[in-house]
Amino acid sequence: MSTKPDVADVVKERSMLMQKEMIAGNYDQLTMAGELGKKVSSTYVPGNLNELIMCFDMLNNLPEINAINNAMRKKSGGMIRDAEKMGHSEDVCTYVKADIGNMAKGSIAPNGKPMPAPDLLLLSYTGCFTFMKWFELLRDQYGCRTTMLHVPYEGDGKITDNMRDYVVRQLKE
Amino acid sequence: MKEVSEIVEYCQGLYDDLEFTAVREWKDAEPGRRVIGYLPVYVPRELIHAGGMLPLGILGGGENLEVIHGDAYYQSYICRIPRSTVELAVTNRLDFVDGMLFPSICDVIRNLSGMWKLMLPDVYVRYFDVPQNYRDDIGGSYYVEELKELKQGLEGVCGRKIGDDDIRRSIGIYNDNRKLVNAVYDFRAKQPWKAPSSEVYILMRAGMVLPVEEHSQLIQDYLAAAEAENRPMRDNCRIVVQGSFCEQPPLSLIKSIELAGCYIVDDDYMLVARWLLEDVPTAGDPIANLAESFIKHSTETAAKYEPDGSRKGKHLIGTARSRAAEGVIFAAPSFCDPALLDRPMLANALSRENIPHISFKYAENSGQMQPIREQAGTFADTIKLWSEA
Repeated sequence: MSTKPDVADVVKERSMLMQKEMIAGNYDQLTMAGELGKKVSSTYVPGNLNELIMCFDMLNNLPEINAINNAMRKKSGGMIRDAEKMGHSEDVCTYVKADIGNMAKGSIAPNGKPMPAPDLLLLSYTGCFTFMKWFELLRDQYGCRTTMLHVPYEGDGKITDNMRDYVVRQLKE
Repeated sequence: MKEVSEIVEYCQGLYDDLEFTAVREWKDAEPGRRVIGYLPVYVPRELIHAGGMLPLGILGGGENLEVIHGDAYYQSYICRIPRSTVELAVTNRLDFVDGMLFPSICDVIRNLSGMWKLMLPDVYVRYFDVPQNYRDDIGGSYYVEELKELKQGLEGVCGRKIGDDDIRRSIGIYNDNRKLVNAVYDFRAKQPWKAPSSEVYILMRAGMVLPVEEHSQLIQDYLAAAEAENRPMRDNCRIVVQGSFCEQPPLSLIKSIELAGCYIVDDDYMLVARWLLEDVPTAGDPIANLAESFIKHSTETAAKYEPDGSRKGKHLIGTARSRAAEGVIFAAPSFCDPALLDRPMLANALSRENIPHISFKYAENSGQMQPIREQAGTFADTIKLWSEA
C-alpha cells in the first residue's frame, strides 16, 4: 500500500492558496500585457523595487519564479539542456540556464501563453553575484535597456550610512 | 647578473612552499610586523603597505595540497579554492596572518569571509565590497568611504594611524611595480620564446608573497636575464588565456598549453597586479586617487558589471588585437559562475570578430593534462594550418 497521500487529501495553508492565486494572476496579466498596453520589467524577487515599478504601471516578470515554476512542473530539464547546447557550462547556476532555455522555447507561461519580451531589465543586485551575470546574459538576448541597483552586502551584519547613501543615490539616478 | 634559471628556481621555491616560510621570516625579522592576507581578485594593496604591513596574496592551496577538512565545509558543486583555503587555515598554515580581506568576486568567496570570522574570531576580517556603479558621484563616493573604513580597520591591525603621505609613498611604489609587471607582459608578448609563461607565472606568483620592493627588483633581474638568454623562437600559435582570474590553474596546465604549441601572450591569472590600467596620481588626496583609478581606469573582468552591453567583450578583443594573438583559450575553474557565465557572451563577441577560441575547465589540483595538451594542440594546429591569415 502506498504511503503517498492523495493530492486531494493535502490541506494547503490559506497563504499558499493566496500565493498561487497571485502568481497565476500575474502570469495572466503578463501574457496579456500587449492587449493591456502595459510595459514589462524583468526583475528579481530579492531587493525588488515593486513600489517603483507599480508607480509606472509596469508589470513584473520574475525569472526566478519562472524557473522554479518550470522546475515544479518538471519542465526545466529540457530548458537547461537547451541552454547548455547554446554554450552554457553544465556546472553553473541552473536558474540561469532554465531561464535562457525557457526563452529559447518561446517563454511560455504556466497558463500556456507566451510571455512578452521585457521592456526593461531591472537588475537588483543584492548579494547574489550570479544575478549580475544573469541579467548581462538576458540583455545579450533581448537587447533591451538594463538598469542596475547595487545593494551592498552587509559583511559585518550592519547597514552603514555609506551603504544607505549609496543605495539612495542610485535610486535617485 | 643573475641567470634566468637562478631566478626561476627561487620563484619555484616560493610557489611550492605551502608553509609561506618567506612571509613568516619577513614577519619574524622585526617585532610588531603584521601580515594581511587577501584573496583574488583585487584589493588596494597600497593601503596595507602604507601601514607597514605585508600584503599576502592567498590563491588557494594549489596542486600539492591534500584537502581533507576543506571538503567537509562545502557542497560537491563548489569550486576548489575555498576548500583549499579553509584547509590552509585549519592546518595552521596561515596562523601568522593578522588580517584577511575577501574581495567582491563571487558568492563563495563572500561567504568565506563570514566563515573566516567564525573560524578565526581573533583575526581581522573584512569583506571588501566594491561598487558596481561607476559614476563618480555614486559608486565613486561609496568607494571612497569603503576605502576609509578599510584604512581604519587596517590601522587597528598595525596599531598606528596610516597617514596620507604613507599612502602616497605606497602608491608610488605600487605604480613602479605595476609598470614592471606590465613590462614583463609586454616583453613576453613581443618575444614569447624568451619569456615562457611557466616562468612569467611563477615570477608573478612571487609578487603575492614578497614585499613589493623585492618583487620589483626580482622582475628587473628577470627582464635583464631573459633578454640576455639565447632561446630558440618556435613557430607557435599566439593565444590569450581568459577566465583564470580567481582559482589558479596548476602550473602543469600552463606548461601543457605551451608544450602543445602555444605561446601565451596575455592572461588574467593575477589581476591584482594589473587591475589598475594607469598610474595612480601621487599628489592630492590619496584615497580619492585610489578610488578614481578604480572607477575610471580598472580592467574589465567577469567580477565587474558591464553597464553598456555593446562593450561586452571589447576589452578581450582589444587585448587579442594588441597582443597579435591568433586565438583565445577560455580556461576557467569548474563551478566558477562569474567566469563560466561570462564565457558565452565573450565567446560570441570573439566569433563576431572571427577570433578563434576554445574552452576547457580545470581545478587547481587537476592532474591529468593529456586532454588539455590534445585540445590546445589541436587548436594551435587548426589555426596554423587552416587560418587565412
